[in-house]
Amino acid sequence: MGQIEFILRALPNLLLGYPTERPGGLLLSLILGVIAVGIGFALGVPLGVARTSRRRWLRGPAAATIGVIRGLPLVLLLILVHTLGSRAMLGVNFAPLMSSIIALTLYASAYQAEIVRAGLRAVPGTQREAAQALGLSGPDTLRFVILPQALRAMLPAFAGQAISIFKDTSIVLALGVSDLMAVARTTGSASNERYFLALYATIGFLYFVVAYAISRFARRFERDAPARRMLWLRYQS
Amino acid sequence: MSAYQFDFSVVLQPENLAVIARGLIVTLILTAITSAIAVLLGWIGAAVTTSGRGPLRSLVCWAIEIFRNVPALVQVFFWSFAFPLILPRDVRVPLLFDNPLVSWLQSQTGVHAYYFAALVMGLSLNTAAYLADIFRAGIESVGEGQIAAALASGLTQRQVMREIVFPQALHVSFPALTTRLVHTMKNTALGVFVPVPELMSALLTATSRTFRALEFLVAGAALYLAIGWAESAILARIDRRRTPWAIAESEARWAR
Repeated sequence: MGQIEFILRALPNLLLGYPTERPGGLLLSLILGVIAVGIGFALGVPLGVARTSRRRWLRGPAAATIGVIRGLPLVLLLILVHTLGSRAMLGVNFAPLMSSIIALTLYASAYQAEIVRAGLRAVPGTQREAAQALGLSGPDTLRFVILPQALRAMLPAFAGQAISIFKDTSIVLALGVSDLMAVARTTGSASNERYFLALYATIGFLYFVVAYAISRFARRFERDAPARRMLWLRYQS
Repeated sequence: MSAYQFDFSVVLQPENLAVIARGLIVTLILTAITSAIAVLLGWIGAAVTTSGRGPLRSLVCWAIEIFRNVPALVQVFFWSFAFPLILPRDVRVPLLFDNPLVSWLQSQTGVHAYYFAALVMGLSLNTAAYLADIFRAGIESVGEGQIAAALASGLTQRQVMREIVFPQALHVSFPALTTRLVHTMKNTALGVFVPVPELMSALLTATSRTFRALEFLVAGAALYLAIGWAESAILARIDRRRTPWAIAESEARWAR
């Protein structure tokens, strides 16, 4: 069998997963990425706001949560969540897919919270003062004045983070979830090793296409002025 | 449901402690080598993309996009399991996998030289691509006015880059650089997928021996956090040492 024929035969499985366990493959990687980024955003924004709060009892735990989750390798977090979600700990066994979603979501939310924090700091203090002078309450100032500006400025950073999370979904291989990486792995080990180069080039290309498309899309929101560059650098840290 | 009884004494048993200590050392060495290569390549990449032109520049730009947008794990797998296959079997096996040097190194350190090199390759190219973008942003953040002023005061183009642009660019990119290098340190945990006995693999080895996963995972988490903090502290110190002139100015800027 030629290289191209081999890849063409494997392609449906790589894209959609094995017929018996669909969704799998690239589709599952995308689903995992979307869920993690989506729920992560819902958790990350309040976490990031709490992180910048002036109240210490809010700021402290938020900072600790973000710091710990961001400080761990994703593989470790994944295996930790899966171990905690076992009968001996919680009395229920998490399915590998469940553990993957929880770990990826936690990971995404901690990173997004850091972006939110940087974005909030980038909104000039005069905006808050002006809003308060107009008689807006604290929460209203945050909701109608600060957050809209901060979130818009953070869009490129969020896009970069979304790409990262999408790529990081490949780690769920550790729990045997049949995403693109895992399907490639089983396809490879069930075939002759002379197809490996073509196989890994193909999955690399598939990941690349998705990640590159998101980054191209996000670049439309970026401008190349030095000030923008500074802001971008600040989100990276 | 009964509460889980933690028993951290297993972590301190000599044989487990030895496995973890060796994993820790491998992780630290991996991090140091990978970071050094990545910083060097990233800096070259940034120099080429900001001031190079023609086919070399587009080649480097594409390389950066590829090494950035393909997951680190895929890259590590590629270098570990696919790349050697470009060589025919009777060349590849004696050259990379089964020769006296590789066996000797493995018997001395427990680390297989080729898989170690493949992990370094995958992680450092991935990191270099990120760093190239970070350094490029740093270089571009130095205002046109400064360059014009430096040129007007009689410095040559080369001097302007060396004395004015690069030091400031490096300083401006330092926080992002630090974050990325800590990320790379965490990414050495991808060693669980290729046979490299770094810290994460060591934790799993110890777990499979004692069936006390949680203790080892918690201990490992503490170790990773500690390495990350230490790494950030060291890098921050290097930055402060290197650029005393920038402290007042940068604090004013970052505090805003």
